Amino acid sequence: MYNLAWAVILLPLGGFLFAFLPESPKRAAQVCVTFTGFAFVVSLVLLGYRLGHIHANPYLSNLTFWTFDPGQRVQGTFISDYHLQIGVLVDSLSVVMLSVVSLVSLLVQVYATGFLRRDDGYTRHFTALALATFAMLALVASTNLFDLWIFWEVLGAIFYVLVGHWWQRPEAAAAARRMFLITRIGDLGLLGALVFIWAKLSAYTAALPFAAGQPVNDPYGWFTEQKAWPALLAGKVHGSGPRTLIAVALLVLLAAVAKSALLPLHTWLRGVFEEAPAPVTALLSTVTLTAAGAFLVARMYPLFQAAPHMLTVMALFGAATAVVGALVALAQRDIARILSWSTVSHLGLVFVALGVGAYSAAMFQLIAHAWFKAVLVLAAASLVAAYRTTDSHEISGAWSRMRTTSLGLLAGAAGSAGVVLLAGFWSVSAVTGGVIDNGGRLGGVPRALVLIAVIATMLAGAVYPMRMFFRVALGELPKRRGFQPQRVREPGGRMTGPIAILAVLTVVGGFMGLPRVRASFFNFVYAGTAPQSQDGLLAGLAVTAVAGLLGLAVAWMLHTRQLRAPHLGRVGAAFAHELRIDEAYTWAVERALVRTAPLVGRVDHEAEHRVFDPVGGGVVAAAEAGRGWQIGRVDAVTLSAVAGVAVVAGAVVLGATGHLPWLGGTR
Amino acid sequence: MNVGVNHFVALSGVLFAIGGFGVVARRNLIGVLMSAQVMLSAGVLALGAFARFGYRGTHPLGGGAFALFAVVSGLAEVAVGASLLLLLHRRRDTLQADDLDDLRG
Repeated sequence: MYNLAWAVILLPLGGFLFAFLPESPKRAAQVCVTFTGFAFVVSLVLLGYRLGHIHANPYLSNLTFWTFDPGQRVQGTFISDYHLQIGVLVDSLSVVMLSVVSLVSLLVQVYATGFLRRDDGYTRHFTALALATFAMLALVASTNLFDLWIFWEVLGAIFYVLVGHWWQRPEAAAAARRMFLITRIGDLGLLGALVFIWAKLSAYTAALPFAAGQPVNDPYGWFTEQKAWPALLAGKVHGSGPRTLIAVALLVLLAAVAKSALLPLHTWLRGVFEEAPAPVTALLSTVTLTAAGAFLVARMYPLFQAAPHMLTVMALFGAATAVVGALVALAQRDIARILSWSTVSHLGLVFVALGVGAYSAAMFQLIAHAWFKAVLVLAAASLVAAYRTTDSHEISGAWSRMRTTSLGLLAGAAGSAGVVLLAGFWSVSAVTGGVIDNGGRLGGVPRALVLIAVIATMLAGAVYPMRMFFRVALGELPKRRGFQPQRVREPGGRMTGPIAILAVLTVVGGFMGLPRVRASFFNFVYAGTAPQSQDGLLAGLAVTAVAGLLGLAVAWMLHTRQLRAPHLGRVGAAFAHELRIDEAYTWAVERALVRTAPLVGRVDHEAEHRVFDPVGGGVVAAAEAGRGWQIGRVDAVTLSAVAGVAVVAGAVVLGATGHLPWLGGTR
Repeated sequence: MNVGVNHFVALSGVLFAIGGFGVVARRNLIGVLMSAQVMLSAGVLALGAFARFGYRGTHPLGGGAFALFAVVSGLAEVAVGASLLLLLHRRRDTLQADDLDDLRG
């Protein structure tokens, strides 16, 4: 039964491959949507089966591709062959993620059939979406870090194609390039972690008793690592200790930070929201690229639990990201920017939850974020397409003309704002409960900082989505020049359908947070042994409810001008300009390059003249001198060949018999 | 006289030298090709001898199998070489090595 996971993963790949068969782009899109739909259905079957067998062990199915023998000798014999494996790991976390990823991908693809219907790159877009879905599914179900790394890279590469879908626009090409390059920094961290783990763990895992079906020496396997990290911490592995753990954990965290767009490597996300097609943005910011970073940390969680102080570092990173994201979003008026900073903020909360030991709350937040952010992005894209602007001040009156889309936007905004009983409320309250309890993991000061940051995030995070919704939905249609009111109408069912489904999910998707369901869901997802932080605390629920309703009220009062936004001068301007982090990077990189490029050029020039030219000239002169030796007759060539062979053979024979002591033979 | 491995190896060496001399000294390219075959046969003979008498615990079938491969590749060499010479003769109307000095520097 669990082997169905192979089907879930391979179906989108099949969609990618078979989409090239039909001639018409429309058929190609239908193929991709159908295959992804089947993947979702199969993943639901898998989820149901797993729910019926909660206490069953994780199921592991590996295909061994080749055997790599690093040549380690233990007591004189070769024992450590590392089988490179591609496999599926079916545990509760991967099953839940498989369903969520395939569902969001399916809805996004359906939306895209309407959104891109007059686009030239129709086939390319759908095949790439299917391939991205495949990569994420395979990443989720990978059995070891090495496979995860492979699909991690595939994911980054394919999103380069997707984000740069309108590559004819220089801005889109630049956004794709920026995304790719900045996430490469994180990829480097992951590669470093792989190397580090191999260097430190392979000797240890080679000596472990191995289970049937497991490779002899698999330092990257999740189950090996679960055993390995505590042993490493206890000093049972020669040449490594707590510092090794910290190094590996920092490298993994770097990878996650870059991929999940956490501060300070978040700058690529805005370009994606501004330049990529909306379906790509929705997929990227909810269940694939940004979720991959959080998922990596969740999979490597035993490492972070074992490594000293790393959870605190992660919680602080997440808290800083969350609060900065929410405050910057508050200062924006461009819809794309609001949504991109909202994503940054909510992903920060995921890492806060992971950092305070509320693992399941983090996964809950990730999933709830997938529902409300997907519906926000898709509904906003419909509005932007109708009004032909991304400025929220120039959009108004959508409620009367585009009812379904506006309802979707309302569900997304309220869900994102944490209004009571919606998905975001339950997930954020679980995160808050986790921070309040935190299981004694954080010291006093970090805990207070994180708590303040989370409360500030909730307050700000409740205001900006609702304010955006009030602004674009209510009021009259705009009366600016060149505005075409007849364009503002509800798009077809292929675009409103996914929005409606996601809106319903946003409303009811919080059921996992209901008191009874919560305990079983949270135990279901979490595979670790150490107890999690309490996350269903009444205090968390109360704080979140108050913050959500307060934010809602403030947003309404801001909209009706009962409350005026305070003028913050330079601080406000800094937040409105996104703290100028992006500009600072650009400045620094350009400065560094402009300073060093002439130097490199001069070194190159000098080297060419001083070193390479004389060498080349010498070769030419030698060739000229040697020409006379070449008499060009066949018999002369054979004679010299035989003579050469005779010299070499003579030397070998004499050397082997010890007549040439400097060659090292023995008599 | 008891024929042992040394005799075979000596014969092989003599054959190899004769073939090598032929390759170097013959002016006719067909003669060169034939001499190269003699050299190859000398090698095959040595392989067979070592296979028959054994050498430092090598696998007894190894030498024979290797000799078989050498014979087959020798045949292939003759086929290719003869066809090359045929084409050469058609174009240049000669098979004397002295006449072929196009590669002079």
